[in-house]
Amino acid sequence: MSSARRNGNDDRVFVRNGRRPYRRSYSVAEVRWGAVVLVFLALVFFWVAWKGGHPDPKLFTTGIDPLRPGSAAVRGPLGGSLAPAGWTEGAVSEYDTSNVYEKIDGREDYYRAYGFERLFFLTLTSDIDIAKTIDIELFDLSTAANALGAYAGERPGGITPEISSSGMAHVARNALFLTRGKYYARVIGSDESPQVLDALARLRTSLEGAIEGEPLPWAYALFSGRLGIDPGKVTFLLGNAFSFDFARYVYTATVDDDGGRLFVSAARDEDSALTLAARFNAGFLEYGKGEAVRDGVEWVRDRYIGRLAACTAAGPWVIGMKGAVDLERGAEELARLRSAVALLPGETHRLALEERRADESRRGARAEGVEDGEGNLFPGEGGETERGGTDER
Amino acid sequence: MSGDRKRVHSPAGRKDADTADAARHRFEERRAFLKRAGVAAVLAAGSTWPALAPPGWIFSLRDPDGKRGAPKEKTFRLPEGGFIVEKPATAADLGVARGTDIRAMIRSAVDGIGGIAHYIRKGDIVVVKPNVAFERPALLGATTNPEVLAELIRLVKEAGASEVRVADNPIETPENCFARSGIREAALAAGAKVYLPSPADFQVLNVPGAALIEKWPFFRRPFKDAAKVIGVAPVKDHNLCGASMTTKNWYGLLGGRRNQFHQKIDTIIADLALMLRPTFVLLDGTRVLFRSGPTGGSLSDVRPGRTVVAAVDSLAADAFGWEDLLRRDPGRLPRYFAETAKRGLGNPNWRETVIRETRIG
Amino acid sequence: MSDVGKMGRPSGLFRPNRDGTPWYARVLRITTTRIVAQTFFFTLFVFLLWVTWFSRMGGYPVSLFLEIDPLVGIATALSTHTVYRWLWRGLWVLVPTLVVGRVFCNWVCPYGTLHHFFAWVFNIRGNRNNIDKNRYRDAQQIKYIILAIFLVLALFGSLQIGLLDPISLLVRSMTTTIAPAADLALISLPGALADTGLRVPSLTFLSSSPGAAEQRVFAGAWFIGLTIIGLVGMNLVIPRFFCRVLCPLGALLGVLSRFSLWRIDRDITKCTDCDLCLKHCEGASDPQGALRKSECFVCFNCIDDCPEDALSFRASPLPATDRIRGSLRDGRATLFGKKVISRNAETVVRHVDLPRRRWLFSAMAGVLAYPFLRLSRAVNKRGYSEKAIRPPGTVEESEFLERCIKCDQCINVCPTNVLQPSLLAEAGLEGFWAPVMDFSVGFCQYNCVLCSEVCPTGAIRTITTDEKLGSGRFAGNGPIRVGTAFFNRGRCLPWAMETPCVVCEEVCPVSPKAIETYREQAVRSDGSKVILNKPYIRPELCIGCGICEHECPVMDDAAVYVTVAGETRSKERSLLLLQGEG
Repeated sequence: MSSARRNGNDDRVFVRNGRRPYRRSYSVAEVRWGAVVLVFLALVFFWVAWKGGHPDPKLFTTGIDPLRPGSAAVRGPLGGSLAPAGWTEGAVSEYDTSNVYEKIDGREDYYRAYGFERLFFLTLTSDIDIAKTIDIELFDLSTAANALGAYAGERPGGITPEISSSGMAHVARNALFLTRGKYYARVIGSDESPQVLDALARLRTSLEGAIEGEPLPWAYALFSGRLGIDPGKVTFLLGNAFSFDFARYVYTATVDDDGGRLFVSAARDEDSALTLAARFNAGFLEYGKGEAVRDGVEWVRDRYIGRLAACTAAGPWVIGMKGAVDLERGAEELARLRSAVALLPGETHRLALEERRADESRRGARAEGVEDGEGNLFPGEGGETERGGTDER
Repeated sequence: MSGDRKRVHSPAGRKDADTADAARHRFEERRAFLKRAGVAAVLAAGSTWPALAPPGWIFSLRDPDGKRGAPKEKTFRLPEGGFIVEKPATAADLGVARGTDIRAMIRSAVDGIGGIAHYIRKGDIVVVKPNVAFERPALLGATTNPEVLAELIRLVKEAGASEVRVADNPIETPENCFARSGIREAALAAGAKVYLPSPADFQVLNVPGAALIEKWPFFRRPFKDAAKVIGVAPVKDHNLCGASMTTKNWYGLLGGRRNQFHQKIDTIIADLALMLRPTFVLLDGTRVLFRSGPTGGSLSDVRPGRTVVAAVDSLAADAFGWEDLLRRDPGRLPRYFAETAKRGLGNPNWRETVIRETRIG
Repeated sequence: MSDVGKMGRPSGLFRPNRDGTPWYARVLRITTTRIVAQTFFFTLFVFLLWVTWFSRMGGYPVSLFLEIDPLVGIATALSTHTVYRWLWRGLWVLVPTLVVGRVFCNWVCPYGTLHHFFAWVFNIRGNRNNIDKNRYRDAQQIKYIILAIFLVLALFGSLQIGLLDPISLLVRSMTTTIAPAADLALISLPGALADTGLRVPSLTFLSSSPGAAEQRVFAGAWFIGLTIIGLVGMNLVIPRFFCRVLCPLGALLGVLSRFSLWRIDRDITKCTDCDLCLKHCEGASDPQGALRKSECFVCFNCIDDCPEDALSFRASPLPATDRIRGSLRDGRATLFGKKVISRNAETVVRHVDLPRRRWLFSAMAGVLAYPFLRLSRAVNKRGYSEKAIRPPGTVEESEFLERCIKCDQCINVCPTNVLQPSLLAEAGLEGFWAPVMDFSVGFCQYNCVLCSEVCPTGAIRTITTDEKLGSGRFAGNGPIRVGTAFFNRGRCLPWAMETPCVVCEEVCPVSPKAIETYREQAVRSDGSKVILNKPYIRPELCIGCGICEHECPVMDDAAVYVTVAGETRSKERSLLLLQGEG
């Protein structure tokens, strides 16, 4: 009985021979389709394996990468190690327009006005005395003119910068300031000990080595090269120059001890230079009245500060003088500038326009509020406050 | 049976056959009864014996007062005298190395206390205990610097260790902590094995003389057959006990409900010093988490320390770290220093000890 | 038929077939390929669940099966009017269904494979009994009713397909029951064998949660386990019970497959009505008579089982009923000159076998079910549970209910085990099995956003660590808060019992810490002095990660606890006026 049950079909624990087909004929077509399916399965397999090997890096990283501290990607223009012997670098942190306030809360508007792109920050600590530190703030200000402008704006009066072909630098007490290309570096030591000062000097060399330089803007060739003005006295005003909303991309150079300044700006062509010069004059006249005409240029005396200003077109350039004390002297300086400008090659004018256009298009893309003439973005005029324009503070 | 039926033809013969059949059937019935009775008796006896036989007799399951059935706690002890190797008489108590070349610093610091060859023998299995308590990138200083760990492992391997095991029971998720802190990668790259805690890895450790953890779950698996133990801990501020350095580092070997210990944090740290007497410790002062400890979380809570300290006496190393690296008042050492010193487990007066300090780079 | 061939002929596997085709035409027939595909996809499914873990995940498409499930795509499209992230991959199943029918069910679906396997292994029936069990039954209409109810609910914004969608159901079951059970075995095996003297190597690397210091536990796992045991066990009573009767995805594919180009066709000039094709019919789709296209799983078993070779898989065969000459009844009918043998001339039923009025009834049931669910206290704005703490990145609750399919992939990947399938208390029946955080089990790992990455439907939006923590690009937004911690001073050791503690402050991961302390000196009754750090919350910094609650030594009812108050995803539950704006 029991053996009969074991043989029967009705009581099997597991199916035996469960796949024996009853069909009579077979078809090779099934094998072919099977092969197609197997190829498909293989594709799925490799696709999954490939996906597995290519994770989304964002998923597993945090803002701080633990494994590559200060690697090339983060160091940006800083390149390799900057630390002089006896000093050690901390981690490099990078900030952009969205978060720069975290690092330099309250000061960021100043750098924004000079085309702020990025800030790299790092601290060096002395190996011998860990109380001695040096902070490096390296600003990417998008153009060399901006970098020089920001630099000139923060330089205290009475300091003569050292000028190289691609930037300026000076050491003041425990700090080193330098520009190189579009970068502006502020390097602040914790004290004025010889150790720190020595490190600052060596940092200057390594920073200048690390960052690619570019030639100084054309205006330096004009003011320093042709007129012999100390390049440290040249300033770049990106927008809202003299608090005139129309006045942008203006270079100025201080020519006397009283703060009288020559200025120059490139207009598109001769006609627009005439128009722009007329706007300057109209602007000056709003705050003063005409006093005299020299060489066909009307000089206007400001009714508040009592200084003289004048502006005229010279070819495609707009030139002028602002803050002159003495009419004759001012007229003389302006004449010198006029003759120097007349000698500028056409190439320089093209370069100046190029520089301006590149900067404008960058700003246009970012839709920054610099050009809307709201007027309070420029504290950087070398400590001197210009009265006039729309500025009523 | 069907064969029998065929043979029968006459009624008389059939009657005889019927009688014989009936008799045989009764006999078979009786035999079946006896069989079943036998089975029943064996089953009855088989269940009565274990139920009633006194404890200690063979197959007895009897448990008159419930004590036999109470769960037994299996405990173990670490080796008598810990993993200590006596420091050579000529060596310093604290080997301090400052600089930036971590590899050279570690070697120099360990040389200061007698050199690695003195502490590690060929073929030793060495447990290295970093602090991986939190899931933080190493830059934030909440965990041991992976570079320090890696160089230490290399040093130990060069000294002939057959196996180096890196183990910790973090507060946050172990796997994430080991990965995010860079410890896993550093340890594996340096040729060590990483031991992540899993529920089966803990066993109750008996620490005779401990005030709070005389019997407490301990992360045992990495310590099986281990000959030497080295602690490598960062220098961290700690919200409750002041500072977390090499002595508090052993907390990461405990399991169970260890969060109660904060009620007597100083006592538990002294207990930890008793529980694990390491071969030596390395205080990783390459980064100092000087506030918001022990978790940190911001680069502004960290400053570079550029120091490593090797010591057999972890308390002296910690006291040095308190004053030199955390830059805190030596007169206000956390209480656990005194409590540990009272039990003779270290000397917090590091200025009394012999220090060998080197500068690298 | 003996396996040993005649003299001079190869035997066994390599024996050629009697019809002259080579041996491989028999061995590698299409059902063999199907078994390979089923094994492949089931293995892939288990593998993808296994790699759903911090250290293994890499870039694997861990939610692939949920993404190719067209029911998930269609239902979320109905509820949200969008197709999230990878859900367009549902087309990978939808389009083939339109071409060859419900191949997904018997070639790809891991849940179908599971049922298929159990129904096969534990099949103790004889042929006749099997044939009877595989006949179509009216109960198979139920799945269409379920589908209709779920889709109507989805239209109203309540996504309930996940309760019965096979992929969601299997992922959920694997995550909360099978995987932890396997872990438990792996972990306790060495311990159990330790006394025997056998040294078993640690197998924890195989665990589904390597590096978790504690065995993972899941709320209500017993019920999920009971469900899967019950559904799999039903195969002993009715083979493929779930697939034939309950599966809403099967119903959806059934509706689509009535348009399919290919189908099984029966040659009535060969068919002897022996019904042997039903012997292994997976879908109970009546291949012996008029094939029910919507029920056919395209398993091809019927072709294997037909002793007359009357069945074939053909591109859009037309029913030839009208072309039969002569009477079927007297047995002299012919078709294209061949004698019709089968008594049943019908070869296909094209429509889904659910009468229109029943469709209507189902839709009405769905219309009513929506208010019944939504008016429950737990899921509407006025009655949310303070413990319905959703993972970071979760969208606002009503949108969440439109998206969450309760697949519990987030729960699977959660490294701390804090994510739990919610029970009725947290979000009612509508949010049943959706993820909530239980801080007595774990805490939200500070730098971890894995749950948002694996979510197939965007119920947890994909976020980066920066977005979660409010750093980097998201510095202006502030961190994502899932709730806020509160102190119960009546149970807190320093506040109520003059005992030092502040574990909560130690573990608080934000910087600066969201838990700070007052320092106070207390004099106890015995005159001893004790300095206490009494903790308090800075709600503007707290992100609700719950590690304080998890680590609080007052275990059962922690002295610091997190509730949903202040969660960023809901304006209604905000706590501080200006929170999240700075």
